Amino acid sequence: MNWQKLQWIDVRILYVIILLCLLIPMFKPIGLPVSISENTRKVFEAIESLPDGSVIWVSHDTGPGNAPELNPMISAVARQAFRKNCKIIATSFFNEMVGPALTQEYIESVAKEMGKEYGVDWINLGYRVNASPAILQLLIDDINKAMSGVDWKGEPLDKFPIMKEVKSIRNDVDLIFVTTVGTPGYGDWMTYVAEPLGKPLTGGASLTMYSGLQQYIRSGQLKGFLGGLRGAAEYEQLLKAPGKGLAGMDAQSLGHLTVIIFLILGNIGYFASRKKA
Amino acid sequence: MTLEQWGNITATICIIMAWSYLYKGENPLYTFAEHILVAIATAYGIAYTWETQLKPRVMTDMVKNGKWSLLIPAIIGILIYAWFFKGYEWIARLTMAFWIGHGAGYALAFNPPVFLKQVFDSFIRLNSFNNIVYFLVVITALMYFAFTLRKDRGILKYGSQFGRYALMVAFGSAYGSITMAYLSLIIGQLQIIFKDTLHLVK
Repeated sequence: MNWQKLQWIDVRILYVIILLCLLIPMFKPIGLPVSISENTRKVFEAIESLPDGSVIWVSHDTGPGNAPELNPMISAVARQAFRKNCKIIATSFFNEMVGPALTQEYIESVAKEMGKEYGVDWINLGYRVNASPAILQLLIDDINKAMSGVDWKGEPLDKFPIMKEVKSIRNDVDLIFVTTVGTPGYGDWMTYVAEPLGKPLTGGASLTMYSGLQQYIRSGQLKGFLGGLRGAAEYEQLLKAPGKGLAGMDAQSLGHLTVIIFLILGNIGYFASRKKA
Repeated sequence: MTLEQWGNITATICIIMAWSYLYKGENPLYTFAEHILVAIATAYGIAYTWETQLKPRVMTDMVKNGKWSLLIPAIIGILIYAWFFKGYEWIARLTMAFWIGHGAGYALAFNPPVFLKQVFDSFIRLNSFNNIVYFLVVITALMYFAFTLRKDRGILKYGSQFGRYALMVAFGSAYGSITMAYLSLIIGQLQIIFKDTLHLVK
């Protein structure tokens, strides 16, 4: 057999094979086990250890590209927070087009299911330009001023009961949960908010950022970490509330297997051509 | 049909148009989807910024509450548009100077404690395999980046070589994570098509 040809498989054939490998388990789930990592457990415990009725700052700093990975995390954190009767102040500082709308959609669906009311139990403050460092700096002492006094739809904050209780991150917020894909990232939240105030910071990010965040996790500055869709699936499993994260795990595992097989085949082709040369 | 269903159908059509790039590279369908995205993002961005940022500052803070001092930062910000006037481009540098000066100064004022915590974390007991590997990788990676020292012999030569391999392992891990993330994104799009729009998947 001419092994060298393995290097030159038409990339469109690979796309179709990967597509099939992702689609088949969606139609016929295999039910592969999902083990829970230490980092996910730490996120769960950071929120679980809060007293009932605490205030959690949830910043869904995502754009359209990474939303499928991070959205399930927002549903899951909202579920855990509302179970403990915690209040949520939500923002979205990465992308004005989809960030605030996705934040609203994913928290609202859980809130409706659990009987929580907008403006009383949670609020979506939306996006602001140049969040880091300007807005983050202002949020510490005056949320109303930082967010120009309006929520994500331009409604005045004064009319919402939750904003009468929560005036500043310094005095009124107990934990910060951030999902991020860029700026502001954990470095910004840590530098300007969490570290100066001594507030626990946790959350999740796209797996593209996983390696670059290790130093924050190791040093304990980040209390656990949800890594992409896999992290979201583990979190859903801990909450015993399967959602979009767990639904995608079979497809993801099979997709990885396909990528690994083609990596091996490509390398066989490469070494075969080197030997011949 | 509900607004949500229309949204899902539109999303599905846009996903397929964008994916047409995989089959035929840059083509009219792909370009059309790209232009829709850019146009909507720009229009939405302008409207959103006006509604949630500029309008409250101008109408509420300035006109209603009389905080006219806000005009000073507003003027400094507007100066950046001097880029568009030939001969006056230098004025835009004032805005950049304020922005960078404040950003750098503020970051430096706050950063050392955050950064030092990570440095202290590398002072660990060598009582487990993981800790020994961690220690070796930190030291040898630093050796690799010591560009002003001679590294053609002795401990620095082998240390920096080991550091380079350690860095390659880290890049490999990062690349693996990126592949994993992209698969998650495809799964998200497939869920929109087959679950939310076509209702073929439970």
